[in-house]
Amino acid sequence: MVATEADASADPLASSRLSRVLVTVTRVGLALLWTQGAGWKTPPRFEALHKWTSYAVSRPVLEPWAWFVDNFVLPNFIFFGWTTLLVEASLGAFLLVGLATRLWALVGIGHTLVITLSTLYAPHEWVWSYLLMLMLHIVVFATAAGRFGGVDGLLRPRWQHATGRLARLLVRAS
Amino acid sequence: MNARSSLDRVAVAVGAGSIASAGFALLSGEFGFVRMQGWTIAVAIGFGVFAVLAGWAGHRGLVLVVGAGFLIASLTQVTLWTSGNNWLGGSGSTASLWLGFGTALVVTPLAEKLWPDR
Repeated sequence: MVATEADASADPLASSRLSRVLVTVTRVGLALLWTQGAGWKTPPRFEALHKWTSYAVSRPVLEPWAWFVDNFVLPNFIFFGWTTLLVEASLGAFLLVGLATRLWALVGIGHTLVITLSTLYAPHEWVWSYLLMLMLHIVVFATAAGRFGGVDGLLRPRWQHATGRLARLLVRAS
Repeated sequence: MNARSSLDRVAVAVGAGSIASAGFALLSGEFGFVRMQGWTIAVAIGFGVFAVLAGWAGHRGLVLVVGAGFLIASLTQVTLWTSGNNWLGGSGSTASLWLGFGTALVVTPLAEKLWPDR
């Protein structure tokens, strides 16, 4: 199929600087959500995170998940606490600079689902905050948001012309 | 704009972002997205200035050093936060921010060697 000028003008990301800036703002805003989240997963005991994770059992969203949390997550909580901190700090870091953005958007989708299954029925929670979080990651993935104002946008052409396995992985991840 | 200048501009942008991030010291509560207090402000501004200057001068080696500095600062922040003797003053949010800055500043100078422009 031959791309035409009309095709290009129909693509707001290709033709509108404003759209690209807004996608960048959205990605950076999402990064700050995770950055702030990493700020209260306090090691070495992760007390606040333990309290929130316990809602998966005391106010279950999905019984098999509640069973998994009760039998595997809570008994090994220090490990899962560090894993959560690492994932959230990395989500904040990589989405902020727009490196391997689509990969990290997928990680964000997975982590959002985990959080949703654990805390959706916790007191005073709002279902749309979880759905919005999920949909925002989907938008960041769908728009490949790191290609606008991110490291992906700068390095992806190099990765596409390189031959190594890492470059091929980064092309897919960006 | 050639590829070389684009790589250098990443350092300038990250440095400016780091300097701006010190502004989180003025925010608290819901809008305190990143904890900035005490020595973290000095780190953010100091490394930020070095990143801007290194990028401006096109000195890739110095950009790499500043990037490594951010990564070490991130790891140090997590270690101190865990120990309970958090004299640096930040939290996981600070570590996350510096992880991002450090990664960008390490990856971009290496790009020229790892994936040469064709």
